[in-house]
Amino acid sequence: MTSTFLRRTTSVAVLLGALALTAVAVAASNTTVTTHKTSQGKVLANSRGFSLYNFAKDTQGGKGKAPKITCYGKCATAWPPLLVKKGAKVVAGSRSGVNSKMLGTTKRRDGSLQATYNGWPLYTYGGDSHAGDSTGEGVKQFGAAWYLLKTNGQLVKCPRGQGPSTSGCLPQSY
Amino acid sequence: MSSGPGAVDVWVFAAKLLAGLGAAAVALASAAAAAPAASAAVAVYPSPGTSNALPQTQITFRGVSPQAIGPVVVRGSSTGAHTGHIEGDSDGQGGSFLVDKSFAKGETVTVNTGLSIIGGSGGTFAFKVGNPAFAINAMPLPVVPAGANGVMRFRSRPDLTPGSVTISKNSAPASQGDIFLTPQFGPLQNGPMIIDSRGNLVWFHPTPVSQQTIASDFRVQRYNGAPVLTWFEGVTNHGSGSGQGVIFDQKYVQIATVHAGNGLDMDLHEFLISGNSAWIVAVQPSSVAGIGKPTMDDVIQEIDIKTGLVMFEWHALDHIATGDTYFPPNSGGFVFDPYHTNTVEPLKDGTVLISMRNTSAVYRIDPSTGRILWTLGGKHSSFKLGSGASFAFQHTVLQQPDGTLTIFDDGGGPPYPHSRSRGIRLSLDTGHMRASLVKEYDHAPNIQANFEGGVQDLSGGDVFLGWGQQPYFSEDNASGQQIFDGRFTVPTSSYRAYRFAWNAQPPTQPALAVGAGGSGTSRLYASWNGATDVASWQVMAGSNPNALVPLGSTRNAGFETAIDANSNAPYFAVQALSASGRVLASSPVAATPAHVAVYGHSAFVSPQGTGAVPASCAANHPCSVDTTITAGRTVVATTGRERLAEASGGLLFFSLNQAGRSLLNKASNRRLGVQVSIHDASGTRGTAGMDLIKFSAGGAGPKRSVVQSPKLQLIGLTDFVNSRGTGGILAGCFAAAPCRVTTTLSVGRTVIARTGREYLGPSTLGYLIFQLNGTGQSMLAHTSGNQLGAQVRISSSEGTASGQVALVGFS
Repeated sequence: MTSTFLRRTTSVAVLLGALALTAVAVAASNTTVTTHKTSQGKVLANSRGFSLYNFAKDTQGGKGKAPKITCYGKCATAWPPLLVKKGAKVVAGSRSGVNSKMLGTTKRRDGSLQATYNGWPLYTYGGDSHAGDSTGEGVKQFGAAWYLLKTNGQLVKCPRGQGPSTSGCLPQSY
Repeated sequence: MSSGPGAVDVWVFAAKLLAGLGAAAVALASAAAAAPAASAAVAVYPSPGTSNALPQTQITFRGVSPQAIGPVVVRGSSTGAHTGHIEGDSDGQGGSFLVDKSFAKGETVTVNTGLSIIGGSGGTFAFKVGNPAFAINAMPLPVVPAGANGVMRFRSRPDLTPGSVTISKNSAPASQGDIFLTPQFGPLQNGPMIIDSRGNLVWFHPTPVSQQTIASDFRVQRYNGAPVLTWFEGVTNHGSGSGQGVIFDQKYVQIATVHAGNGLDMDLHEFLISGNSAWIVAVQPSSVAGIGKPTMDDVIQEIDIKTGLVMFEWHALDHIATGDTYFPPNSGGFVFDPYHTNTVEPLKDGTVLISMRNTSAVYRIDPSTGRILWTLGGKHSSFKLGSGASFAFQHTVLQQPDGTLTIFDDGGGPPYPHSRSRGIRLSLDTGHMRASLVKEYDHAPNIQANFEGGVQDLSGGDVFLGWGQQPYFSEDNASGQQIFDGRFTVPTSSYRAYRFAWNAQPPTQPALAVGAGGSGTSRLYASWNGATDVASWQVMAGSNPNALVPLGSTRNAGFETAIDANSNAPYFAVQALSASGRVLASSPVAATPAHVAVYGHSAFVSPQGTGAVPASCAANHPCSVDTTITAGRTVVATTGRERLAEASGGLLFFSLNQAGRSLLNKASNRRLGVQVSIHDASGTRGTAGMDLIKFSAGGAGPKRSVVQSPKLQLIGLTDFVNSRGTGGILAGCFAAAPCRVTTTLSVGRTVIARTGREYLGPSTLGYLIFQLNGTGQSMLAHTSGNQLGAQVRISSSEGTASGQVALVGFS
């Protein structure tokens, strides 16, 4: 689907001259998923170095089954989805360790495309104020926990003896 | 209202026992001489009809003097007659019959007295011994990682590593008083901990997490008419504790220990002192028919702190159906924990308030009968709860003087009825049995604690909140604004958090650590764990540990105050001073670690590339020092070993290599920034950044000579003066006390500079700064070869040194 869209956009650009050339440039702006090191280890990040998270309330896609996205409205404001512009691809950062075979996209309700990894829709976290932050790890918000992802597609669950909470992973002594 | 076995069951049970009593063997109490003439109703514990008494139970009588308890006949249905003796409570209002041997599990015990027993039949009553399964053993604590900033560290108290805290909001007028916490998940140590409102540690009493020991419910209470510190100390297993209560006085001396009675260990949730007794919880996993998992019986006890006797006992299993729980048997954990009591509060009317997390309910009971008077919340609430008044898995329920109840509403689960925890204040209309929300206290941002937490009423309408599982503690004012917010930096947390005024002075000495500072100073670290009245620290220094003299004082700056002392004295101590300057206590004398030091910010280099840097040997042996000077990554000079006398100073001479001379020649403003590093054969090092400054001089220069005093010395006989006539005489003070030095420079009979008193710290080098007068500047400007011969005289009460030196100008 993505390549078809690109071909069509390019042909329009030729017809419309300079203005359309800008459109070509936007369409070609891929979304990069890379990695960075955090206190939880090497995890997925966007091209600006902000950590990427999974939302446990979403349903993982795979084997022909599309992921199910549940984060909209206020949730998507607090946890912005990692979007892929129309006509663009989601690509792995060079030498990042990201497995490009696990990358994909899924459609949101408004038709926009959200990047996925190992079938999980990806989000950044509004609480991460600096590149390299991972303050959303283990945070329980909007009805479920949010977790970082490793390059092998596994979620970074809370350490043994800890569980998700409104403030992130906390000991669960009870 | 829920009920356990129920009153009817109790009476049937008692009647059967009495019928079978017959001619049972009796045992008379040792204190049985007094006639059993008491007619006032006497409360007894275990209460008549109790089905879950402990095998090691004592038999408590309240409402009668110990002497009037009279003969007590005790018989177990399987163990037979029990001998024992009576011990009196410290208030003279009761006593306990202590049996000589334990009862058997499951047996019925009949007690015959001449008293009027509440709930008994005349003077006779009976109870049944339960089936305790096992004691609470420690589980490994879920310790959180320390990370880079997770613990506080102190040079003077390396043994203290409490979890670090961050204060994000401390708006005036947050209440006065310190904050009382008990970190429970490390990272490295747990224990009672006091911090001030800025997050500075005040007191910490650590237990390493490796011992699986925790503290909880740490607060200020009154005992014997004085403020005391109290807390639980012990181990935990899935939120149930096993340990003891600790009471410290205002000198941090343990003056009492409270143990649960009747063979139990104290639980971690409650330790409330009321007069001379303590209200506590104890928990006992028990075998209960029909439940395939050991079931936790929550036992409320009042303990006589002086005697350790049990003054009251109440078993949750006797009064609350296990089906009232929201924590079913298939929940996690090592037992079925239907109740999980977290608050016990004796009320002014003599009734007792009990809060249980796992039934999400609060109970008011009549302690003389054990009967539940009403239930607030839970599955069988006696009250209709108004809008916003419902709570779940709550903690720390207290009746306030105005009759309202403050509750920490965890909103825990599963299932989770709320998405956040909150403090609430409820008013109770016991006429219409309605509970209404008066006020709500939230955290910004909203957080949810699944367990623990508390609300404390402060003066002026403020409340202090501990957020239990969450690492936060905060304060709201009467308007509901959050005016204080703090947290453990890493996600350890505190069962409860309080704010109290606290004044104390530990019996221990202040602690002091001494290290080498920069450029010949010594850096001191002073602390006094638990002292609340230290306003400043007086530094004492000297070469004789038994004859230290004051150097000066520094304002106290939190738990540990770092002090830069302009001295390389071999010995230091600090005195803790009150606001009025009174010496509260002194630290032990600390020896300065052996070290070498480089002084000053400039070293002057001749056109031939030779120069010198001032250095000192702060050791009890001579130093053998080699020097390396680098400009960036380029080594510009190295020396062989040069000797510095012990506890003394001097100049280390160097010669720039070709690269160094070249760099200096090219340096702008004739100054080359370098790093000077000296290394003593003993392994100690000293480094300093400074400028190499090129000067030019011609000829042999004037004659130089010196007459030193033992304690005040001139170091080097060439001194440098800048283009504005300002120069420095390098000198050393080797007295025990600081040298306050005056300097005079003259040429012939003409004085060219004179200074006021300048300070040189003991056992240290320094520059005595002078300003040439106009005559002196003119002489230097016109002298041949830029070298002006001058007489220098430095003088202090420690001695006088004088010499003939060369003054060299530089620009």
